[in-house]
Amino acid sequence: MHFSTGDKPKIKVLDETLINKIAAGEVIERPASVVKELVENALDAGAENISIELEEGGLRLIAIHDDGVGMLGEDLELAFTRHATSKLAKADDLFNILSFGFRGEALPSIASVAHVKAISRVKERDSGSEIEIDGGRVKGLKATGCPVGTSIIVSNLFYNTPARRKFLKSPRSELSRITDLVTSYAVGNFDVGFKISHNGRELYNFPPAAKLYERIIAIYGTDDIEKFLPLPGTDEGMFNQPGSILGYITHPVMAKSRSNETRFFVNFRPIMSRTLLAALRAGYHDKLAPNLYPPTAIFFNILPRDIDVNVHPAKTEIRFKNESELFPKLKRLVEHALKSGGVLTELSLNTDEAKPSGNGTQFIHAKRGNDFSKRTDMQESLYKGGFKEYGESSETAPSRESDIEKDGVDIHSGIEKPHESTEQRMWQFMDSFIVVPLKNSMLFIDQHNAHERILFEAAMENLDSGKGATQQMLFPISIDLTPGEFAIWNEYSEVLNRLGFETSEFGGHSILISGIPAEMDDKAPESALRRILDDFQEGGEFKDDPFKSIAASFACHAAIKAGQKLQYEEMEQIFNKLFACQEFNLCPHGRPIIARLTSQEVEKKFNRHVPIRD
Amino acid sequence: MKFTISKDKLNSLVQKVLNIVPVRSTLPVLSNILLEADKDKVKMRATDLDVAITSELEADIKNKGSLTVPGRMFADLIRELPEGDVVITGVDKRIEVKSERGLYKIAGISADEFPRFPKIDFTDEVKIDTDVIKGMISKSIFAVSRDETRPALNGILWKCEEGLLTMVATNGHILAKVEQSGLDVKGIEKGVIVPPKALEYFSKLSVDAPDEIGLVFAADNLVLNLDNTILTTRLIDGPYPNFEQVIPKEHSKRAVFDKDEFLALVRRVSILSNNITHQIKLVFGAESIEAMATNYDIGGEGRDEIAMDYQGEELEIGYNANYLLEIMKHVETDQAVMEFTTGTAAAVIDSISHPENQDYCFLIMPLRLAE
Repeated sequence: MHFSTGDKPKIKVLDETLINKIAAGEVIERPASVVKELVENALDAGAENISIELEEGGLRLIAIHDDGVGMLGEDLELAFTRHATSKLAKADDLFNILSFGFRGEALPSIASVAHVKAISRVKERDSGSEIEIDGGRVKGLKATGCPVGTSIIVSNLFYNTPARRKFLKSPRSELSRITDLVTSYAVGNFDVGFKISHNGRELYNFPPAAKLYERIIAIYGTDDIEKFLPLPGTDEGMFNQPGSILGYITHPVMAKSRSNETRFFVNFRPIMSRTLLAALRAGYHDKLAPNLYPPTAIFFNILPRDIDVNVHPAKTEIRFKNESELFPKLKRLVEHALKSGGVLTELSLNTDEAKPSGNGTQFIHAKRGNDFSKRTDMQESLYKGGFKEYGESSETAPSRESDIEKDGVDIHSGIEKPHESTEQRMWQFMDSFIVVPLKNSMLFIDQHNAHERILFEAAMENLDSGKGATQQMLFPISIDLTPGEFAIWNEYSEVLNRLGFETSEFGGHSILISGIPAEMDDKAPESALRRILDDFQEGGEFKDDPFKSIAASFACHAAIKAGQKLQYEEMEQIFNKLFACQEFNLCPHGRPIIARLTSQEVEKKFNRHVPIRD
Repeated sequence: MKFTISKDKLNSLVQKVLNIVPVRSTLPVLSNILLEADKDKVKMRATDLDVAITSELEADIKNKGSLTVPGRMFADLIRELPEGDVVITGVDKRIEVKSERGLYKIAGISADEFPRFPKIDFTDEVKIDTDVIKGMISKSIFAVSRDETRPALNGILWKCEEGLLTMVATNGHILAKVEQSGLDVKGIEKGVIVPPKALEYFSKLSVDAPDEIGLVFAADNLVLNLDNTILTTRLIDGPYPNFEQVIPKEHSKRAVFDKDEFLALVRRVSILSNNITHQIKLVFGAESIEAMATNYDIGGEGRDEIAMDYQGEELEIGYNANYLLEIMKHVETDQAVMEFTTGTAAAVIDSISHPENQDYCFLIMPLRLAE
């Protein structure tokens, strides 16, 4: 293709509006990015109360009002000019950043992809100013009456960048991103009041709190408050003290499948850091499953010169100068908090050391209310004796198994049926795999993936037919949901009911679980339900098919986990049910369920001559 | 340490404490049994840090002393020894076991490393009939929850007020309550939660226990005193859910039927129930209970009925068959009673009469049928 057809030069300096549009691409990805920039500006302006109005997940309207210092008319106009910022005057200052926003990109970027109106007043003046910007062009500045502070109204976001609009998720999913984000700022700035409403309905209202603890209660409710464990010194903590690490972690039972509530703050700014996450995990030792994240609110006060926040335009990644010191420090604090909370004992901390000092142990010294590792031993002995009859009563051979029996080999996968025998014919390996020796091979069945598949097929059937049976509970469980979770519950409670959950509204953001799907393992139904809601905040796994998503999510969270000891009857049950499934090679997420080790492979390891088989 | 004792006595002593020795432990010394020779008695102790046992027998003590030995190996050895006297000697950190013609040596761990047992104050001890307490435990223990996320439900609630001892266990779907009057256990007016392990073991031990056992609640522990053997268990932190509130007081429907016929009915029909949910549907009609189950996976269904004496409107309720069977096994009379009001609330299952001084009942929540 020819580059030019005439004599006009083709390379031009971009005009300001276009530069802003490009910059917006980096900073303004979705409605949540707008909210983030505007909330940060409001906090930098010293706001004590911030209220956020949203419509259609922020796509139609984002309006943020604060009672901060406000701006003069001329500053207001300048604020929408690129790289204009009141927060940074010379290059040196970049290394001493304490305020949230500093690039001066935010407002012009937003204004280039939306209709923006800004109204502001400083307390020294009797009237405020109003400015309107449309597609990056200032349309007029006029005086107006308004309270002290700033309001920024952003409407029709991405109206002039249809490509960007296409990449957005549903308004519901954008909304849950925003509520997540604002909740993070609300934790990090607990002394500031936050209010948020969507389509005219108030989602939450957190009044300014004197202590982090109060804000956590406002968000999580009082039900689970004893599961929040303070890091040492938090209760009387001075959050402004340089070098301090304060805040709360949570009991492992609170852990979630998403990391959005695992919050870290550096100088009150929410950040992400793999290093900190790794240190947090290390502190939990083996009490935290690798795919779960505990809700936390951990505040680091670090001298500005020891961090570099200018790594990423969205400013969520942060670089520490002394990462190697930070890691062990955080790990120790987490261990300490877990020990005080009775989650970790000296014993479990010492497991990797050869021999704990013997004379330090005492019989039943303290109440160890929640030490699960100990409790399992106790449970086992009870259920070995007491619950044997459970397995006996209703084991029936599913149809698929009889198919397998016919010719010894199943046509679908070449899997043979185990020898008929009264002896034990399967074992558990690493508390995670069911091992079944067959005539010419050995099967390894991933217990979690297998159970997931079984539950998934049962759930799909229940959803299709509405046949889900509900085991009702003597003691209904009330749970306080986060605003985001509650919104999802509201939308999907009917589907959840078809699945077999019996839930009802219980005031505020609480719901009452009075029945659970009969297929479900009885353990902690409330956390399984929560995780299902969390998955949906992300929009679900199968975008096109909400039933499939909810069934997959239910199956994943209700299935027995890897690392869980199984009784023989339970293994048999999983084995039999698995081969009664329509598909038994892959779990709903596409991971394999069965691995097979053939006799040839084993013989090879022993350098045997492989006999010729017919 | 040196003492002589007959093989049979030694064996019975070792077997008593062996059950408490944990199979796996992060603390090596817990796999050991502590032997103590003192005055005219030999004592053995074992613990898994939740439950502790101390058992003692008279023996011919030559030298006092103490040492721990690997529990299982020691027990195996003693069991296989020939009849006759056995001489046990502690030499440094090894134990020597001498039978008539044999000599065995096992390395142990110093007694100092064994967890210290709490001193027990027996002043508040109450004596209770062994069979009574055993019966109460057996009627409630089956309902204990397995869900570790609700520690309080992992044990049996014991509560004693004005001479009435109550035991309650629940897993959230079924509940068992047993009451025995004429008992005065001190210190548990507000209720304590006893983990099932020690109680299970007590039930096993009590075959050759004295007619009466001693009970003491002290310092977050329950102590069961069986004369020569003392079982101690830690308690679980509460609070226990408010069970009184969920036991329905009034019922509009009452069914009386033959317990064995009902058990057989449920067993038969549940063979064709869904083998995950174990759902069975009961239809209470004027003169019969009809039971139905469907298993779509295998394309099976079953329907059967037994005669019954029923007062109330016809009603259809779903239940988990396993829970029904489990509860019915503990109904002691030939006739069983089932009372309820709606198909979505707890039903009360009871025997037609109760032994003197005792009262019990069971609750079961429906497995709601989808419309």
